[in-house]
Amino acid sequence: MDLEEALLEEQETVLQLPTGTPDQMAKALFEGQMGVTDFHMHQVLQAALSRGGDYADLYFEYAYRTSVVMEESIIKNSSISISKGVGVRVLKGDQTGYAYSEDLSLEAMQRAARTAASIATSATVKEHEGYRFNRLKPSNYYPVIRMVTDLPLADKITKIQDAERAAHDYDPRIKRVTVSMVDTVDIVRIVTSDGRFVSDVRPMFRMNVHCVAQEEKNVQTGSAGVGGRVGLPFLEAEDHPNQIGKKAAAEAILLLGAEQAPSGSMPVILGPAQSGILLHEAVGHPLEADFNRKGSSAYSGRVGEQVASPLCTIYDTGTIDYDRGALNCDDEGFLPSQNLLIENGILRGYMHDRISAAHYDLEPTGNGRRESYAHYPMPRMTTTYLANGETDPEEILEAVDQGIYCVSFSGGQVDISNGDFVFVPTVAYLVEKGKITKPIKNLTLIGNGPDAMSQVSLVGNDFAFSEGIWTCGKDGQSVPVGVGLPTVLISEMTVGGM
Amino acid sequence: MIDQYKQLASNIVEYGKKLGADQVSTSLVNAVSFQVEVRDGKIESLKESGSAGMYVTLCRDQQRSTISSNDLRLETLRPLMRSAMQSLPFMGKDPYYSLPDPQLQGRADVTLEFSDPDFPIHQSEQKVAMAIELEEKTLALESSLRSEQAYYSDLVSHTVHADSNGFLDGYSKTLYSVGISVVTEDKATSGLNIGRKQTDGWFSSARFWEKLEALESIADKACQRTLRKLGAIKPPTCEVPVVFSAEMARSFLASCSSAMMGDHVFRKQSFLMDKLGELVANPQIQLSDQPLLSGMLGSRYFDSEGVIAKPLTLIEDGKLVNYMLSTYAGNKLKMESTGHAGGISNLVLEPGKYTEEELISSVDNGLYLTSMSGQGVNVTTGDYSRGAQGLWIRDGKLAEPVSEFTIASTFQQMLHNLDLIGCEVDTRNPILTPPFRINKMSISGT
Repeated sequence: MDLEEALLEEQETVLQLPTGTPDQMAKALFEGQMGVTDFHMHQVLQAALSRGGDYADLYFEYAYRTSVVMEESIIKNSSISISKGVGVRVLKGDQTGYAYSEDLSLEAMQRAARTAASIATSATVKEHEGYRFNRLKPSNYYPVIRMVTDLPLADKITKIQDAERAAHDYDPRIKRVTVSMVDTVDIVRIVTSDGRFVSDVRPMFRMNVHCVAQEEKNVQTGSAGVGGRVGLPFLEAEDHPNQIGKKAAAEAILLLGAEQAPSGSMPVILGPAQSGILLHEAVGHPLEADFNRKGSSAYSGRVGEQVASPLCTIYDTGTIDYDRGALNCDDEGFLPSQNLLIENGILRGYMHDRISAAHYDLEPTGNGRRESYAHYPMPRMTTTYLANGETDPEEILEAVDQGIYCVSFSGGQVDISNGDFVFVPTVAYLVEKGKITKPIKNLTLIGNGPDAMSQVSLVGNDFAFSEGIWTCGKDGQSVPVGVGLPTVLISEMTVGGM
Repeated sequence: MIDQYKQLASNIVEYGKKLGADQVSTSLVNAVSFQVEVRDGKIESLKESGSAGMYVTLCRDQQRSTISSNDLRLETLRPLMRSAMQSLPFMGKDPYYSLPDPQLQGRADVTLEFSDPDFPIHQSEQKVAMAIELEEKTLALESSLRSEQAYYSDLVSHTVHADSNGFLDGYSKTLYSVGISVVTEDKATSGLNIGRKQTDGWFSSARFWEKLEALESIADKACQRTLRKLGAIKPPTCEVPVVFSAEMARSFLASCSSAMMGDHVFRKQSFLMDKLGELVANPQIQLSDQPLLSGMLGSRYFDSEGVIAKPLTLIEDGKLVNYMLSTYAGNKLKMESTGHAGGISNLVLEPGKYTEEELISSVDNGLYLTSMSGQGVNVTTGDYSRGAQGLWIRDGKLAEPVSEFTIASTFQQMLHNLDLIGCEVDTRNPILTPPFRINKMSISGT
């Protein structure tokens, strides 16, 4: 970089994202601003298949992210981050070659393509006559015209201050409050050697409050968040800052009075929405088809068999409007669908990417996802949920003599091969004789996927999706996901307290 | 690469000053990596990557803004830095933010070996062959094993840091890894989990090629670790001594170390706040951070703010004697930076005299812990509750495998109950710890 010259030339340049439909935005950005033409894409695909690969795809991405953080009543920092690049993937059978370039010049992209191409090593490669791109126009599940990114910094700060005030006003024992607001616009364009050509503009918003409450030596924390693939109308529609400020504070204060959780096997009631974490771990991950293709999941080869209680019908879909797990197209350019995973307890199918779908001779299910251009796609969940049941939640509570009721969670984890999973409640209560009694703390729930799902004995009629706050990690790649669930009773599960 | 990045870094600092910032700091990182995964003698995936990153913090009049970008071109950096400057007036004034005291900055006066001059040593074909060989060697040990994947990866990274104090320095690091995970059938005898399997593996990782563990040894460990899980049952709910394998000891100490980080302490998010000088652990525990160990994964000359790296005692004879501080955390706590911006270097638990076998034989009835899962670690309160797997210890000997249970205690109790320390240290990551015994934890199972 020649900085001397830059300093002499003092023209103001302001960062401006293009506007319009996803396709127009992607075109203006990748073609207009970065000079990547159809001809270039042809050339790069050509280079990608120059060693005899069966298939190649290009994943162009430009991500613009801003964040503001408030701590100790001071707006401590604002940050802007830009990340762009193209990932080139070449498939030969079920083998993957992958390389990426952050430089979108033709030469750099071709270099990445030749690296990815080396997965195939055919001596003779038939000359390709050129690619015909079929420009897809998918449905838009998050049509955001006014993005949070467009909100002036001063207005973001007002919202953040509202949340902070709400938390402090809740109780004088709230000693510290941290509020963060992060918004991202992810512009992607996917182009494949079999002619698929699709663009997507993916907004993502997240606001979070974290509180520390202190009463003498007892210190507890609480947090709450909202978000999703939403725009400014979401922020304007309800007083989210106030709500999450209060909610985070309430959690920390509640925990000041919580008792150590019991331990041992007992009935567990999962409250609606956030408890969907259980599905994500117990059923979701083990039904990602890559594990099944490799035969390493506890559910491998069990399609058509009973793997859960007949009360359980479970879906995964990227089509929930404005949800954190929504996707207009997956990261291989396939459109999302409503994937039935388990129907009345019977395993119906897995979640696929292109490779696993080909392996099973099925259509891809819109679950091929990646963290960014720097990663190749694999089967991942979008929004996973358990369909509504018929029981009144009050009746579910009354059915439990001694057990626990879980409201919110910090996360979970699963061992795909043996099916053991844990999930970690942050707010939970003891249930005694059909009534919620004392708040409890310091517990982990552990179960086994097929066993726990077979113990689902009542399913409520109060289905809800969780707030958009979840991020799923797999093989070092993080992607946003959604979950949902009505109130559920698991008749026996291991509760790990002290 | 380093010289080129130094030039760019000092240009960025100059440009920030020109825009009116009174304090500017920047870090530039470049990494080139290779990774191959094989399964059943065939490449599953092969990935090569080269990536760049730039981070800039601009501060004027105690107001601060940061930017990051992987696009290091002038036409991107200029407007980004300007937008950051434009956002400054909206920021609150934070009197604690500052660059480090220039007196504390510099490069430790030692030679640390963390860059292999011969990197990457092998051609792609040889790297692939190595992963395939590891897979063959492992599968040859036991016919019931199937491969999930064997892999080889290497990485070279270049990092440069510069600031308006005049600090400008950089270094390169290399890293090699090779490993395998295998899976085997393990039908549960009751319930719906008739598709149960067990998986495990082993890997080696080092900054120098010749420091990698022999493939035979990796294969052997991967095989043993998987087979010993077969037929796992749920243990009873009880309170027993737990022997932490070196890997689990690492996980425990990683959480402990975050409670010693200044950021957690001044935010009141540490069970160790207000505990300096107090006995917080068993008196035989000696814990320190050692940045100047040659060849170790966490070694460094200076921290991410350019503060010179030096050894720091954290726990001495069970007493908490220091926190790990960045400049900001130091300012908040009215102490000096200890060179821990960016976290620990090599966290060292001083080894004891017992072999792992001796630790196990010290337990009549208890758990040998080999795996933990879940987020049930609360550094603020000290609460600790995790999903676990391992082997039961009966009469001082390893007995049946156990799974689907939790272990629980608090950090406070665990540190005091950590009463026997092993002698064999795992060097595959920056937390250098032997296995140890915690003489009492709650097990929740059947």
